[in-house]
Amino acid sequence: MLLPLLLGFSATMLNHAYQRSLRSAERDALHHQIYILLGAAEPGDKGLQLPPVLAEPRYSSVNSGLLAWVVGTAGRVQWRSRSSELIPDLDMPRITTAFNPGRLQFFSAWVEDKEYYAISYDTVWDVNAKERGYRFVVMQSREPMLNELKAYQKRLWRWLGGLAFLLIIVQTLIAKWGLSPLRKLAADLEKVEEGLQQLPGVYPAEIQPVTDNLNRVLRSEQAQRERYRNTLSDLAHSLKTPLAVIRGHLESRQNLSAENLAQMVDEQVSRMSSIVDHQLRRASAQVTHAGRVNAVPVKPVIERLVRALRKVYQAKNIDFQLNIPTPLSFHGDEADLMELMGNIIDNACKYGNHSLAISAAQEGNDLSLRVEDDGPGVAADVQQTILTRGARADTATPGQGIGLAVAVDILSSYGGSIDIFRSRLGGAGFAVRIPN
Amino acid sequence: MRLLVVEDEEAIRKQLVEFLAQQGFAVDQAADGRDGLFYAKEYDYDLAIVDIGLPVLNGIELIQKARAAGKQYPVLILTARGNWQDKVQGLEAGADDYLVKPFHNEELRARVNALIRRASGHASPKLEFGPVVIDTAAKSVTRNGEHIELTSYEYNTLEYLAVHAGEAISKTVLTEHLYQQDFERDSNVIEVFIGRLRKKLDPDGSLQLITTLRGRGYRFNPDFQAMAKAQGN
Repeated sequence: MLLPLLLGFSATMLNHAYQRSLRSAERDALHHQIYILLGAAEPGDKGLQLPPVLAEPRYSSVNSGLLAWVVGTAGRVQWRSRSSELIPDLDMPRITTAFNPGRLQFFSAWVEDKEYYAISYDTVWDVNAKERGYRFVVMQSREPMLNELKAYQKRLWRWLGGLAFLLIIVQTLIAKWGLSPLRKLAADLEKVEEGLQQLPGVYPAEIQPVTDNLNRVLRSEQAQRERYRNTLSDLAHSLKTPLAVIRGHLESRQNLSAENLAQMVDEQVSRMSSIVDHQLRRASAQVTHAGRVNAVPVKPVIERLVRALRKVYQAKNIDFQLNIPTPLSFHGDEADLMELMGNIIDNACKYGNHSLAISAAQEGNDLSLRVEDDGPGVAADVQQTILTRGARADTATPGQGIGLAVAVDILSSYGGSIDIFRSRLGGAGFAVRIPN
Repeated sequence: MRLLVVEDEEAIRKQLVEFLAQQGFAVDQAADGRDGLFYAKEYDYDLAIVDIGLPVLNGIELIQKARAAGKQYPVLILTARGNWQDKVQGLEAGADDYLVKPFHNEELRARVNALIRRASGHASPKLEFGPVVIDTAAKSVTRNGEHIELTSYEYNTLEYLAVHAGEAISKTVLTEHLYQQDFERDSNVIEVFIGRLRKKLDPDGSLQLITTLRGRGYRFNPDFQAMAKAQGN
């Protein structure tokens, strides 16, 4: 866009400068001619005399484009060069300005449809001991100059035009070459839209970060989709069982009493409700943690939970002992940490009596969280069940261990683990480890 | 006992109100946060049940505003999502307990009773006053182990007085806590209830459980408490 403007401007400038230099050369030449004439002039008997042949051969040949003549103060032509012989007197330009010795004048004139550039010089000569005024006039045709200018302009435009054309081509090529990776990216994205899983191929270093990020987004999106699909089919399948139970009872027309029927429906409804609950929580817990960047301070989260739970279990008057270093952070989602610890601490509040200890520490590359209570503890044979339950929600009995199952789900999405141990408080202890 | 239920889903609200009314509570109801807040600020309830996801004004804001207006009664929040962020937010806003939907009515009843009891400073569901034992969970009254048959209004009057034992309770306050908003009130009915209660609980007049305070209302006689025993732990 800028290029033609720039080229046009420089062309105008060049043209103008050239014209000026031509004009100045023209003036210099005319000036020079005046001196030649003055040098050749001799005062004679009949006024000023000039030799028929001058040093400048163009004065002698007709139509040479260089004309000269000398006019007396009265307007009579004293001398004219041979080159002006074909031009009638009447066509000679008349100079109207008053005679003024020593004055040099430049002017343009048209003679026989030709443009001339002219100079006049007023002089006073001592002829026969008398002072006589003579005006010297030299006219030079501008045709050669104009032709040269035209040719120059033609050349100039041709060069600049060629240059512009070349530049545009080069520019287009550069743009085309420079943007080709983006075009490739666009085409690849289109392919992704049609079902390709990742952006293929290698891109230039400048856009590699963009494509890497896009690929990451695509991957997490895909994983998310996969999980949703799994969750959905899990959900649908696990809901089928209780529905089948209800339908079975209705179709077999067993002699169920109204009370038993109500109980059966209630059981199945509770089961379905806990399935829905579980899947919902699992869905929200299992987002990808590829970009684990935000560091969540652990202490405030636990303190909020403890304040809330203290309220809920007010009647139990539980003594919470917290041992969490203030600078400790969890690298992940705050909601996940809250959900994880909320479920474990709530569980401890439920089964504990009056004392509860919560401690946290960074151990190597892991965040270690421990929750201990003074309740009855967890029997060895159910330890595994309460921790694995929820992996298949459709087999879970309602109201039991759902909270812990959610905790396990969250942990597995972070690649963490949970263990049950006997607490020094006498009850159960839950030890959580999360890569941090 | 007078309760406020704020729940936007009509089916659930109706069920709640119906169930709570069956339990002998006077229940006011509102379907959105703004109406709910109006009731919550206007009356002194014994308990409010507030759904978190309410239109116009959400449950958390409702509770915060009611608490800011100086309301001290216990609040039970209902949440459909059941995640800890919601629960903690609700409890931080001023709620006292939560219940995750869907819930069993029995669960609701237990929480409601526990909260009301807790608010009145009683830890156990059983209030013992010598030979008279009021079981607030079962809503039954015994004297020397013998069951005493009471209508629900009679029981509610007794429970309210017993929970606030030692305090002077005016007839207006009693009516307010026994009847819901759109009920025609007649304070003479209270006198009738008190008369019947005295007759049923204390036929020979030896216990003097309920004292009439001239111009101030009634008082469940604190001298009669075996509170230490009732509170157990």
